[in-house]
Amino acid sequence: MEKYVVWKDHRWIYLLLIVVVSIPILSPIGLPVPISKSTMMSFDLIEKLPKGSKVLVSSVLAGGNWPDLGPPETALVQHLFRRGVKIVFIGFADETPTITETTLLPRINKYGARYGEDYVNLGFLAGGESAMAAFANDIRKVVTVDFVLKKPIAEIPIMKDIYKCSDFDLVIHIGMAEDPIRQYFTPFRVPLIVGVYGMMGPHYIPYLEAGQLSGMVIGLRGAAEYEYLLGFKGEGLMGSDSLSMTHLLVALFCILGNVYYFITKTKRKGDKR
Amino acid sequence: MIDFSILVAVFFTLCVYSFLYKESPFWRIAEQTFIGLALGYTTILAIKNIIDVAWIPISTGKNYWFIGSIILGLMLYTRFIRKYSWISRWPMAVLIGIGTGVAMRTVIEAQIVRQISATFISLMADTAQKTFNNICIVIMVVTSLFYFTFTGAPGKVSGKIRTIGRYTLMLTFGATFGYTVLTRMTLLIGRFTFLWSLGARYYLLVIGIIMLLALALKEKIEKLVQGKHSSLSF
Repeated sequence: MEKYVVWKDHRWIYLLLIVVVSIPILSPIGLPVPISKSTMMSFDLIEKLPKGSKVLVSSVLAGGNWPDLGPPETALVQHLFRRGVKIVFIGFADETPTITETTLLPRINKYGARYGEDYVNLGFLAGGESAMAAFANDIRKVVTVDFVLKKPIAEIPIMKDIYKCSDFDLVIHIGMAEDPIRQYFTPFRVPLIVGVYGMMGPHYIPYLEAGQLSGMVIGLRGAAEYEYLLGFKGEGLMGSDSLSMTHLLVALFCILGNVYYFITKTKRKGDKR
Repeated sequence: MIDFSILVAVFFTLCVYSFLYKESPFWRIAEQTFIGLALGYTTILAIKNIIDVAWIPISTGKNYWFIGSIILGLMLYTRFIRKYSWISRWPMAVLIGIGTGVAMRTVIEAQIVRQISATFISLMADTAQKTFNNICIVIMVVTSLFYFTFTGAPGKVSGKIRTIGRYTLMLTFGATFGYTVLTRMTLLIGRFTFLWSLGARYYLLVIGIIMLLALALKEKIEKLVQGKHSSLSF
């Protein structure tokens, strides 16, 4: 039995994985994308926002987490621009403001939105949850100038009536969900949508069921669902075939591993006798 | 026209993935470059942050309270001097105190009260699927909590309840494992979507072939050197 198991050298598995990931990227298969409840809730909420509503996009987007968090944020922000709402970006990771300006915004259609009037980037705040709490309570105390023009925020038209978190009609947070639930939703009761890492999805479903989250887009998979609803072909839909194929491969190896384990276990028991 | 940003990105991506085959000089180049760049970038950003948030308000006379923050920050560095390292505990205590205070302000409601009240649901809902879901939620929450009660004599009934709780936990771990695989694969897919994009695929082929040849040559030289050493030792 042992001699047939070529996969004992894990490099064969890596090679197979690379082939399985690459084929759908080079030649898309078009596997179906079923829409989950959490993505649908997010889409419906943004779809119902009246034109001119104020939305806070708070994020920890960085180069390292882009493949998982970038596509959900791109899809959500694309939808916001399409709805004609006013968007305020704030980052809680050092790379976030730069990546928002150089990678996120150039990818999407802004429908003629103007910087300062329809959207603004307030830069990066150090301090994690404490900074988030301070920002939610009094924006002008922690942010003095914007990231792009370095203009005092009191002189930026979009910031005219925005002083704290409760002045927003919706908050979107990209990253982990606990901090924004504690600092945006619980004290201010502002509807909250989160775009989260794929592996954190199951952990946050209880928050969705409890009504603390108004929507959730889970990683690349959630982004593919959102892009499908939006009719926008981005990284989510481009990667969804590869994702399905790799999951099939992992499931196949789980089955093969178990079959191998049980066969060798029976053999080992037989040898002992 | 060579696009250097794409060239560098492809080169370093392949350097990192070369580790999947075995540790190589390419992997070490990528590792050390990344550490150096990340350290430099973070240091500059931290200095800029101190200037923007604290130094400008102090120097313009807008807020002198930040002098206290700067002193607390400097006190952290006393941990490098053994004699005065106890001083660094004070700013650490302030940091932990603020962090805990900010989180505790809402954690009771956000993560305890709301989560418990979300399980107080009607067992009979308007649809059969919802009714089934609600019954499952109640049974699974109660049995999972019961699994962690370690006091009391073990009995047949409590053993059965614990078993259901254990299966519930295993289902949760299974879902988490599935989503963890999803995240890891997402990172791989993100890189390969870039590598196979129109602007990068030619660099991928050229750099990939050069790297493979270099690795093969290195292995050959290493084998030759090893052969020489072993013949000398005899």
